[in-house]
Amino acid sequence: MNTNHNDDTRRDDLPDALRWQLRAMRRDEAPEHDLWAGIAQRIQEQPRQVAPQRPRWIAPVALAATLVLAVGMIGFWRSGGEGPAKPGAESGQRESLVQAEAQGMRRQYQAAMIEVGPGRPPAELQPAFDELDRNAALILDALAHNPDSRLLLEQLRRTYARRLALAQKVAYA
Amino acid sequence: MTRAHIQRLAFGLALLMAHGAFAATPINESRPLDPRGRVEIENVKGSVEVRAWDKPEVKIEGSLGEGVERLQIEGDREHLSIRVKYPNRSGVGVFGGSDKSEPTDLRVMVPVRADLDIDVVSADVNVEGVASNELSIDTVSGEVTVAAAPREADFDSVSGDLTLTVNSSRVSAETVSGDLNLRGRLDGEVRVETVSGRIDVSTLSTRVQKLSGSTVSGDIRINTALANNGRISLETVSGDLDLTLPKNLSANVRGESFSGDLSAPGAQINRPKHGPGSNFDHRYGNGDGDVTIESFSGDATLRLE
Repeated sequence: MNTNHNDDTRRDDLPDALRWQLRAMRRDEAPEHDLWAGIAQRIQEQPRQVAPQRPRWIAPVALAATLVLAVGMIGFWRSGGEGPAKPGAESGQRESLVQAEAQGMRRQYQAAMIEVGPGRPPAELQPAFDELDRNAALILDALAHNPDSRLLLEQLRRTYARRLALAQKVAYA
Repeated sequence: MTRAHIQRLAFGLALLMAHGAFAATPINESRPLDPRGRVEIENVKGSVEVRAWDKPEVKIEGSLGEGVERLQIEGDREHLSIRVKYPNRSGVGVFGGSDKSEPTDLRVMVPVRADLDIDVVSADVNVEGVASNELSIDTVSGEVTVAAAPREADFDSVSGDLTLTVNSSRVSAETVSGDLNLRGRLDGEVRVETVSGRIDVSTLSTRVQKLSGSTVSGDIRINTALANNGRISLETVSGDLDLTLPKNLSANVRGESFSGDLSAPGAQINRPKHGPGSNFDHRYGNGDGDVTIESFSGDATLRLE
């Protein structure tokens, strides 16, 4: 199901995580306009009442939210999140950066899930959603013990992305 | 139980079986396909069984479950799609528990070199003998069993187990909670990923160029050999990680864990005096390749055999 097997060099240049993201979105349609502004506004708001009907714009919003997670991670890598721990002030900076990224990622994910999955998932997929939630909680708990961990941040992003992708799959079905 | 009871029970069972036999519609279709054409198969529930032959033809047999709208076969000699179509229903479509349609079983013969793309929900998938350029299987809860030699293979599952024996130069497989068992001659790139499923990879007499494995809470067990300048990267949060490589390994191996135990032959495990965590960095042989194993709380072990 890979969509681009002809350009292996370019594919290899992508981080595995981003490639995974792109794969997860291979059947999506690009949003017609920038939807992030609306999502950002909703992040600041309390979770609103769940609508009984799933509106048509769910898929593009989910796509935009997933993109935000991916782009956020790229920004994190480029700002120096990757690499060995450095002593002194730099170490302190990176620690706060990892924590801030994790918190930001969590808020973005929660906002996206409000838009994508207001209803209960189908019964046969409930165990998978529960499993993803359990593992996300496990990572967050681990991050509380080791807030400087690039490994945990990346695992958290993957787990959120995977849950979003599954919610999108249900929405499309 | 009296003899009369048994007879009535047997008669009832026979009636039920007869009803099932009549309810399912037999499938017997054939379409021409170029030897290197592409076949797409979609079936929500039931089974998909694919076998290969040397004919430039696709043969579809099996039975269409009661309540299914139809079997849709579209395309041409280059690209054929086979889809089990369901009646439109409100709710959450193919995932809905309200779907009363019966399972559909598909048995498909394809040209041995034809590309294959299979998409199912709960249907079990069994593929044998294909040697295509690309093989792709996507499932939610169905079990996937493959014995094939595609050049590139891509597997995606939510809760279904993946049991894969493939000879491929590039394999990507991921699940949420399903176990992932990968065997075969793998001499290129391998990427395996689960959230809570168990990963078990064993390459047969081949050396991988690049292998990456990741879980959150699932265990990882890898038994392989590393090509010159090859790379292995394994990481888990709370799962245990077990990597077995040959004794003549030539690689720089680094390990790191927050609270798990690290173990590697001959390596000095460093533990900071203040604070948690442990790590090691050890060179084996000429240090040509690069291996990293990393965990948060799971144990990580390197073995040389």
